[in-house]
Amino acid sequence: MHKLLTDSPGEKMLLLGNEAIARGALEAGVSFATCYPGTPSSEIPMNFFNISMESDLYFEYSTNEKVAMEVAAAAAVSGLRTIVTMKHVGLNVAADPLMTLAYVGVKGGMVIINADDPSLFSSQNEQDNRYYSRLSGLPMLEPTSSQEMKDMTLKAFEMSEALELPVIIRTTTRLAHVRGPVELGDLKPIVKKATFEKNPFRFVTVPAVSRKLHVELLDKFDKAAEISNGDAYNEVIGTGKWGIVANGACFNYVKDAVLDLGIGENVSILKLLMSWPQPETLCIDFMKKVDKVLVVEELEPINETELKAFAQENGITIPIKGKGIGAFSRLYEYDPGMVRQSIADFFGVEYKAPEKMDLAATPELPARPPNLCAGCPHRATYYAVKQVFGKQAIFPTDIGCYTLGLLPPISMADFVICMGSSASSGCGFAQATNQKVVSFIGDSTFFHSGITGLVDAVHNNHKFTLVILDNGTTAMTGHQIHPGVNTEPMGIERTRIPIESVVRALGVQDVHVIKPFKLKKAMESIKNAMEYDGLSVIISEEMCPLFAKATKQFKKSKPFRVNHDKCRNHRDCLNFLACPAMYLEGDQVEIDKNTCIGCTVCAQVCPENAIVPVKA
Amino acid sequence: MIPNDPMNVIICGVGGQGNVLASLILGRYFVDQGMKVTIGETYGVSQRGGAVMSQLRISKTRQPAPLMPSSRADLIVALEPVEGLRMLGQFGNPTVTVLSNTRPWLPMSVLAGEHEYPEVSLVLDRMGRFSEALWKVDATEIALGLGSAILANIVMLGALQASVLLPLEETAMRRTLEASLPPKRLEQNLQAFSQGQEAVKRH
Repeated sequence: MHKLLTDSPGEKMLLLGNEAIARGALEAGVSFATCYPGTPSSEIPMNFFNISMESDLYFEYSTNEKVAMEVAAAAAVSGLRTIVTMKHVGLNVAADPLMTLAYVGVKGGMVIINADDPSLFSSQNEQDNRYYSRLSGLPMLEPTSSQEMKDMTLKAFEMSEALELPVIIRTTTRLAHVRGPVELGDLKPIVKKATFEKNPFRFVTVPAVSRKLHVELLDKFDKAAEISNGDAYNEVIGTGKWGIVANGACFNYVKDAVLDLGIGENVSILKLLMSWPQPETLCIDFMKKVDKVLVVEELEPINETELKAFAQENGITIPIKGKGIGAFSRLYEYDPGMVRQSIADFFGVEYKAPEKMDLAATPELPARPPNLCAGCPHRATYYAVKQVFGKQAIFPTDIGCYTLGLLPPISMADFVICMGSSASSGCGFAQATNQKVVSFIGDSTFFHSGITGLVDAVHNNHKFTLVILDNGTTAMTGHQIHPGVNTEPMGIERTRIPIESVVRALGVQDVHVIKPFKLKKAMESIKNAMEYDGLSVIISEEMCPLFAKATKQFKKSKPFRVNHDKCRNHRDCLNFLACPAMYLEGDQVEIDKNTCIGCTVCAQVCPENAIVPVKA
Repeated sequence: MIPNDPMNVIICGVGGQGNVLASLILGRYFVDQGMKVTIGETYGVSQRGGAVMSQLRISKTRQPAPLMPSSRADLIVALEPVEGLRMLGQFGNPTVTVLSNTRPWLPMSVLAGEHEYPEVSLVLDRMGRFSEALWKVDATEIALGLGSAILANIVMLGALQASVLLPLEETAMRRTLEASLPPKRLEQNLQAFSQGQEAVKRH
């Protein structure tokens, strides 16, 4: 049985924040879950996926976040308790349905999990999605611990049904990827089906309907503000004259700092668990009772600005500060030392930060960025394309493991802004320059938002090459399925949509399917694509070896070794491929037979044929 | 009992070494002992081969924040020496203790000749010099002797138990291992744990 289905209320489990959210949804009796995976949200749907195999929960990996939001919206207006999860930039993709779903509202509780990534641990930007609650008018909860991740998810369903509005829960990496104790509650039975009741004057958003719905949204917003002002979510801790306002992960750093600085008696903390609508009355009362206020929030000065507006309207003239105090800025996540220092600075408390170790006598340490795995097919595709096109072509790339093609020695990534941008920006580069253009996109990303770019390329006669790196899974976020995956070996019934059929159906004339581990043949096809006067698509098919192993589809091959009688130390293997299975022993390249998966690519690259299979 | 409250532990290494599992096992152990535990993980993109780090914070009285301030580690468990020294630079202080694997894992930039990996003996020497005590374990060698380098994380846990750098009661720790590992691999992992203990006792 899945551990999150453990039916023992009162038991304490050490749960990842994302697991706690999944558990909270189960305790709310969630029936319907959708997502597009994205760090740091991916563990939520991975748990739902597994749970759906042994319960009545419906779960799907949707094509992209917009689709996930719309599929979920239909379930929620039909009356089912529904959850949809995504990372912060995913909500950009889903912003269109979000904005008008706020107008029509829901019947069954609907919870939108949005995972922000301050400090960009694995994202292309660090936008602050608290703005989406302001933009849409939807309530936002910001839990501060694993326990609250569970509790708030459960309560969000109740609030959503009471207001007939979707509720957004905003997490950040420091909540999603933190493990803490969680006390389990009762599991609720899952309702499998609902009946949709027609009501075109609510659900069909023609202008005449939406004009009225906007009024209703503002009414609901007032009700949400009442909840926010009540004592169910937001609270003031302490009675001191020094005011601190904190939300999300920052609340933990503030709690630690106040203890550490020994200023508990002097401080009042306004903890914003429901951060939108702002609890206006509570904020005003709070500001009236304290001498000054420090707002501790990562990224944008949202709470700070809103508090200042409340103060202005109510004739409150105490100092209200946030950004600019100590090292508080709009950049990156806060760290606990910085929070201690800023609090000490602002309230004039003595604080001596522990001294940094002086490691002056230490040699410089080599950086260790992540790299493509041993036997990763992307490495082979990149090598083959570089051999044919050279380094001068423009290489728009996309979001996935293959973005690591940025790093030397591959160095084949020139432009990426978001999911799907490789296909469409390829159109732009091809038209705007006389340079050759080769765009790279992964299989899952192609379905997510690459198809529309390819349609543009066909329709507007753009001349470039799109390489679709088809490794049979959504690899980077943890091997999720997508519409192109053959799910049979996993015992899952989903209809596969072969990428080649999609590409041909879109009208692409020059289509090549290559096997990247067969370098010579692959390069011939790539050369043909390069010489074709028009749009070419190359589909590079080879399963991610980690996924293949995990799903028992891996065909074991002999690992390789370097034959030192033949090796003349050109090091083409290391210099062009840099596979993690290779290492230097003295100045000789060796291959670790435990890491090598026998992809044979280095053996094909070696000019001396000095890389040979290990004899059994 | 834990020597400091909260007790700040860093477990660091290279993606793929089982860093997360090691921190999870320790976390579970202390939760079972009735302690309040918070584990913050740092892993981004596809971290395989990249530097990874978990912060394990243990308290008797309060739920600690997911991150510790710089220079406030009490204990660093390094599955890879350079990663240990890197963490020592950020979180070290004169009273920190370090338990380190001795086997380096070379970054690709080093293999490709762009950067240098300092002499391991120098790395270990510096870790000793910049900490109150350094415990060295040939965890990868031991793990390879048992058939797989991946067992190094459990060897390190065994060494940690025997070193008494953290109060880990042996029987309870073995129970946590049993509850956390797949039954198929349990026997091999328990062996790795025992050999880690032995390695420290030989010290």
